[in-house]
Amino acid sequence: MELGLHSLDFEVVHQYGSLAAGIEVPVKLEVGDRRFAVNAKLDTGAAFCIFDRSHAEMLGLDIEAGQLMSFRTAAGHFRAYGHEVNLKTLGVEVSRMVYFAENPEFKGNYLGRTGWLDRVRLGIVDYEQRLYLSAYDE
Amino acid sequence: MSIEEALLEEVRELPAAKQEEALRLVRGLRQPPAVPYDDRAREMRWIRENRAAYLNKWVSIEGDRLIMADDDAMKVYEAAKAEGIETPFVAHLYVEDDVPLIGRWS
Repeated sequence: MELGLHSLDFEVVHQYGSLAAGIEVPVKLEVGDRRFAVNAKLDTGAAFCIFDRSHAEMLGLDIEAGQLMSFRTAAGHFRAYGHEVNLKTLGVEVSRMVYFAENPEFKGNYLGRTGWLDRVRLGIVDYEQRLYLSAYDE
Repeated sequence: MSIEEALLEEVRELPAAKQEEALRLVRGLRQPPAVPYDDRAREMRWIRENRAAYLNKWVSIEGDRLIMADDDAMKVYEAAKAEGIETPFVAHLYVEDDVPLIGRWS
């Protein structure tokens, strides 16, 4: 363990709402010339990014043509299809594989580690509802 | 003494950790200004204030204005595009359970 003061620099600071069930940020999804924005919850415990199935349809994707993967939760399993999507969060842009839930009943959008958290530097001061963000630049 | 010389003199007097801090500060000053972004604060506020009235509907919102609410996600997206909105903000206003959410999957 290395003791001492450490600091990180961030390009963006965002004030998120205190009433949301979780920390939500606006995310722009883009494939080709189709794009829209949604809210997504940060989930640092999630291995991947998962979005509502309807969002794949809005992007014009053939959802079942994507990479099928099963995910486990504390309550069971679900399946989702991976597609390459451009994500823009608070001005920070990454292009990676994200997953769209197979089941239309799956509700919500979640930003997890692979495809998002591993592409950014993130700081959170939840007491002040402040989120700090930069693209990961090595 | 020039400003450059004064800066160097001040920095030389600092301990190593503070010199690193000064270096980061200077590098930050050289970076181009951050790309402006829309934090969608007005749309988020609209959702907080109107969720109950549109429960389980899909909505497209521009600022604090509702474009369309419907059961069909594609319809609300297309309605916003038809208005010429380049990046529509869409949301599904499902019930936010009072029970705290525990996410996580792998």
